Order: sequence, then C-alpha cells, then structure tokens
Amino acid sequence: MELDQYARLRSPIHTWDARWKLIAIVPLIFVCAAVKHAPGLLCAALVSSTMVIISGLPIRHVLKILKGPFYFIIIMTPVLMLTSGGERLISWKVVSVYRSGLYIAARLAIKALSIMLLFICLFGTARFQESMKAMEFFKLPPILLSLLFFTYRYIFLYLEEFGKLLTAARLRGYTLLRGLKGLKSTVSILVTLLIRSYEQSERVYAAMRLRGYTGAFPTLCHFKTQASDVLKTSLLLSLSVLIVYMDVL
Amino acid sequence: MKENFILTLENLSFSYPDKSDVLKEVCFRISSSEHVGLVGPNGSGKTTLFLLLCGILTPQSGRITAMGKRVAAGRFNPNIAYLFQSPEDQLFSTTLFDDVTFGPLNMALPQEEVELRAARSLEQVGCSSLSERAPHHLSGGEKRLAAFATVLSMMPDIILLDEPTSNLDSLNRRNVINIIRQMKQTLMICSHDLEFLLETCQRVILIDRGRIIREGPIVELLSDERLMKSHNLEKPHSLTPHNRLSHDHR
Amino acid sequence: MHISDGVLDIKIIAGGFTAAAGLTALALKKVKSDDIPRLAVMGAFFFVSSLIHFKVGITSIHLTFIGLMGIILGIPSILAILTGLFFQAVMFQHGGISTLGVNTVIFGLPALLVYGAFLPLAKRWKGRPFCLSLAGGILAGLTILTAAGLILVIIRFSGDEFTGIAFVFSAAHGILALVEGVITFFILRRLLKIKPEMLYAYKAGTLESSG
Ligand SMILES: Nc1ncnc2c1ncn2[C@@H]1O[C@H](COP(=O)(O)OP(=O)(O)OP(=O)(O)O)[C@@H](O)[C@H]1O
Ligand SMILES: [Mg+2]
Repeated sequence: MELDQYARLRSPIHTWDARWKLIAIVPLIFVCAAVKHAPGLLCAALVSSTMVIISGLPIRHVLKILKGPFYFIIIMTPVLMLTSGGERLISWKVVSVYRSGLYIAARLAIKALSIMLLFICLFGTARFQESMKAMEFFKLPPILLSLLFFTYRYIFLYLEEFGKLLTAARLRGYTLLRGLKGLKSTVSILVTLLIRSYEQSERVYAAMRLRGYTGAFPTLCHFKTQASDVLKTSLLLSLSVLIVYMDVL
Repeated sequence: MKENFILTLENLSFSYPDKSDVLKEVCFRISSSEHVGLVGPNGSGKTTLFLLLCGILTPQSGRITAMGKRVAAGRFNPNIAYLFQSPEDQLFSTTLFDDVTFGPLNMALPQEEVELRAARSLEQVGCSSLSERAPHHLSGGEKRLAAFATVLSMMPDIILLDEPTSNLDSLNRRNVINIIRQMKQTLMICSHDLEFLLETCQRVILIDRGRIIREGPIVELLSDERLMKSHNLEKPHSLTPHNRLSHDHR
Repeated sequence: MHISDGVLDIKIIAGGFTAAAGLTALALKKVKSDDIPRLAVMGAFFFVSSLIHFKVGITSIHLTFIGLMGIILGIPSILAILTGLFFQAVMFQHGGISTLGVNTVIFGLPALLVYGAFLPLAKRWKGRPFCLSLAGGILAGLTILTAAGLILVIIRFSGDEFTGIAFVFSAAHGILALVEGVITFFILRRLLKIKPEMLYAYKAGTLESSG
C-alpha cells in the first residue's frame, strides 16, 4: 500500500534528483499512453521494465502493486474478445469470439503495465515528500500541494480507524449493508465517522493556525543537480523520442 | 502592577452551542516562569479552558491577557503554544521532521535556525531517531512525545500542556518530567497524573463544572483529602505519610 | 467506475487534463487557505469510505460519495476528488495516472452539478429536511448515472474497440446509483438533524473543539 516503502534503497534510479526524474518519466508515461503499434509498444515495455530492474525494487513488491492492473486485464480480455468486432475466430449463434479482441487486450495490457512500472519508478524510489517537493519546484499551486500532503497523512488515520471499526463490527457477527437493518446501522456508523472527521478537521486547522499556518506549505528544500541527473534525464528523453518515432513509422 | 503576571484571566465564561456554562466566571493570574497545574474531573472544562487561552475558541464574556496583550481568537500568536490532548490533531505532516519544522518555518526564520531548532527539540524529547518517520507509524507514546517536540521547536513563552503524560511509559514520563523541570517558560499543565503534577508544578488550580474551586500551593491542595474526594479526585499516595513504600523511597 | 490506464486515446487524455485543469483552476479560485484542513481531512475520509465494499446480494460494490462530497464541500470538492483519485492510483492502483485528468472530469463535473442543484433547493426547503434529503439522495444517484454516461461518451470518442465493454459496465451502474442514492438520503437525513452546519460550511466558522 505504501508506495515509498523501498525509497531508501540505493540504485541509479534512487539517487536521481527527484526533479530531473519527474522531467524524464512524466513524458515517458504519456508516450506509453500514446503508442499504438507493435514496435513502439514493445519498446515501451522494454524501457519501463529495464527501469524497474535497474531500480532494484524487490520483485514481490512490484508484483503486488501490479496486481490491480493485472486483474483488470484478466477481466477485460474475455469481454473484449466477445465484443470487439472484426474478424471472427469462432461463432456460435449470436455469440462470437473475435481475434482483434485478443490483440486489443494485449495492447491494453502492455500499455497499462508499462505505465504502472514507470509510475513505480517515479514514486517508489523517493520518499513521498521528496516527490511532492519536486512537484512544488515545478510551480504546482501551493494549495494543491498542501492538500496532497495533508490528505496523505489523514488517509492513514482513517484507514486504521475504519479497519478497527470493521473488525469490531465483524467480531460482532455483522456484515455491512445486509438488508434494511444493516443499512441503517451502516448509515449511523458512517454519519458518526463523518461528523468526527469534520470535527477533527477543525481541530487540525486550529493546530495549524497555532503554528502560524497561512496557506502556504513551507518546506525545506535540499535539491542539488548533478551531472549524472542531467545525463539520465536526457537519455530517457531521447528514448521517449525514439519510441514515438518507431510508433509513427 | 500587572507587569508581574504573564497571563491573566478575568471573568471568563464560555458555552458550546449545545452545552452551556462549560466555564463560568473563571479568573486567575499566572506569573512569569511559573509552572501551574490544572486538575479536575473528566468534562470539567480543562481542555476548553486551554482552547480559550490559546485563542482557538472565543469566550462569550471576559478577557484573556497574555504578555500584556489581549488574546484574540483566530490570530496566530507564536508566544503561546498548546499541546493538544490528542496528538493526531497536532501531527498533520507526512514526516516528523516536517511537523517539527512547520512552526519555525511559518515564523520565517532562516533555514539553519529552523533545522537547529528541529534537531534540538527532537533531541530533547528523545525522538531524534524518529525524525524521518511518518506520524501514523508511531506508537501512542511516541506520538505524544513528537507532538511535544513540535511545541518545543516554536520556543514559546507560554506553554499549555494537555495531558502530556498519557500513553507514556515510566522512562519517558520521567524524561518529560525532567524536561519540564528545566524549562524556564511559563507552563500550565492539565493532567490526571497527580504525581506528575507534584513533581513539576508549584501551584495548582482545581476546577470542576467550569468553576475554579480552589487554587493554592500544590502539596497543600492535593493533600486535602475531603476536598479531593468531593471532586472525584484521589489524594496522591506520595502525600500520605503512612505509605511506607513511598516513604522509604524518599 | 474509473477509466484505467491504457484504454484511452492520447488526444482524449490530453483533453481530459485540459478540462481537469480548468475545473481545478475554478476550484482554486473559490477555495481559501482556511478550507484546506477541512478539504484534506474530509477528502481523506471520503477516500477511505469509498474503499469499503458493501455486500449487495451476491456481489459487492463500493460507493463513491461523489454527490455527498459536492453537497458538503461545495465547489472545492473538485480538489478533494482530484487528490482522492491521485492517491487511489498511487496507493491502490485503481484508475490510472494517464487517465487522472479524464477521471477528475468524470467525477468532478457531476459533483459540481449536484452542488449547483442542491444550493437553490436548500434555500427553498429550509424547514423541510425530509424533502431536502430526498432531493440530495436522488441527485447523488444521478451523479452515478451521469458519471457512467460520461464514461460511455468518452470511451466512444476514444475509439470503437472498447464500446461494447463500456456498455456492459455502464449497465452495472444502475444498481450502484440506487444504493448510492439511498445511502446518501439516509446520511443527509441524519446530518440535517444533528449537524446541518456541516453541509454549507464554506468558510471556517467559529472553531469548535472537543477534548
Ligand atoms: N465541541 C464541543 N461541543 C459541545 N460540547 C463540548 C465540546 N467539547 C467539549 N464539550 C463539553 O464541555 C465540557 C468540558 O469539556 P472539556 O473537554 O473541556 O473537559 P476536560 O476537563 O478537558 O475533560 P477530560 O479530563 O476528560 O479531558 C464537557 O461536558 C464536554 O462534554
Ligand atoms: Mg481534556
């Protein structure tokens, strides 16, 4: 669940200045989203998986993150094969299986997985706040950044609280939303938590005000560009251009 | 002259929209560098009083003066710091370091000064090793200490501590006692840990149902068994002369 | 309920980000720094509650709370939705990164519509919490249908190959809309009774706190 769990490892990707990493990987993500044909797709897959291998992130961690997109693809493939249209493989009454569905599914899989892999390289190899500070450097509105920071922190609080609550409810042999009675108690639990979170947000606001909060999110910045950062970024950017070129060809 | 008093309350009354008379006609004065305890049963209005003192809530009547200036609600006053009863409200950043530097950075201090203060306050509470950790991964006691560090890094003149020892093990409790005893600032501490107050405060204020019942030197007030009993409190064991255990330890 | 990575054409992706940037700019104009803690804490709350799976018959669904967010947070709910979607992609790999813009539009637009529709109703039915909650519930149900409709249109524009699948998935949204509407109705009824100020609190009013 926590993407930056392995941010402390050391690899060429980890030591890459977060700002330069952002400049390199974000365009590449869009290139991966844009490619259409086999050569470009294969290149994109190659580049993204090589990046993950270089980053040295534990394979199990990566696979765990990929599980989501993977399930999505598994579900999509048969549906696509039944609905995509085009050349028929098998036909039975009104149902037919299309060959192009398979091709589309493969394309979808490669695109989704490469994007995810690049994403892991981007956010999984630096502490979350470092990535955020890099974004701050690119003039993202400060309000949006503060929002990202604080939301991140409170997501964990509520994950824990909901976890406890659901366990407690389950221990009492109760499943959420079974029948009308279940609905009622679900609603009352949600309302209680909702009000509590609202009141907590007021206290958090007070705590921030007491420490001088005025809207900006002040952070200490320690970025330093090195020659290797520039080198890595230009290498990756040229690869992006290459992939686009191959795809257009 | 008023100059001796760093914090004065005059006829302070407060009601929540759905609960009236949470505080009624509260008056007291606190001199500079004094350490004052605040005791009272659950729901007696201690936290509410602190929220008023640091300007989070606005009193319906009465006035609060801190360091010669009237406390206005909603205005940032770097001279008054408040340790919240729940550290979850106070640790809102993604790492402890960010949290400790939040206040000093907002005070527009130079970067070196900010880092120095952060390092020092973390060291003081013994949390230096936790500086890069996320607040949501800390234990209850660690959260409490971390929140304390965020208060210390502001270097305020007046500090309000709401239950500073809850969730702490005996070693960290002792550590907090030592920190507080060394502090030259003006302190108000609200706590149910009366032994802790005995070691850290000179004076204590007893509050119940929003009114000040009594104030006075801490040992004298806390040894009054009848007074304590009538306000759901218990006389601390260390004040009972027959208690051999604590006697031997002296 | 989201559009995932790899599905959309790059033109749609770019269009999505442009539209999302517009919506975000609108919300940023409306938001004050005082609103940030509330947006963050409530946004986190909604994010986590949208992860809970409810058992309905043999399947399980999870609610979006888009309508409720629109009603409680107002126009700034766009920002909470944007951050929520971002973290959903980052932490749980729901939705996608390249489709973040499109998804923000898909959910943000209905939230805005609900807010816009609810505001005049709230003025008119001030003393009638039942009618107001009912309207809120219906609006919340409609958000799901609107979002599903938007998904359908966007996928249709993106290319032919996913049209079939999009129809299959939108059909499933009928039941979600119903459940979302009912739950929102009950939540609003309660909130209007216990803490109505929560619904229109655009500004941080008098701060309240409990121990
Ligand atoms: N936000 C609020 N809205 C309404 N009533 C409140 C609120 N916060 C506190 N109260 C009520 O005001 C009274 C005083 O509460 P307060 O939190 O100040 O007590 P306390 O002395 O700090 O108690 P404890 O020792 O349990 O922390 C209580 O009766 C409480 O129920
Ligand atoms: Mg209290």
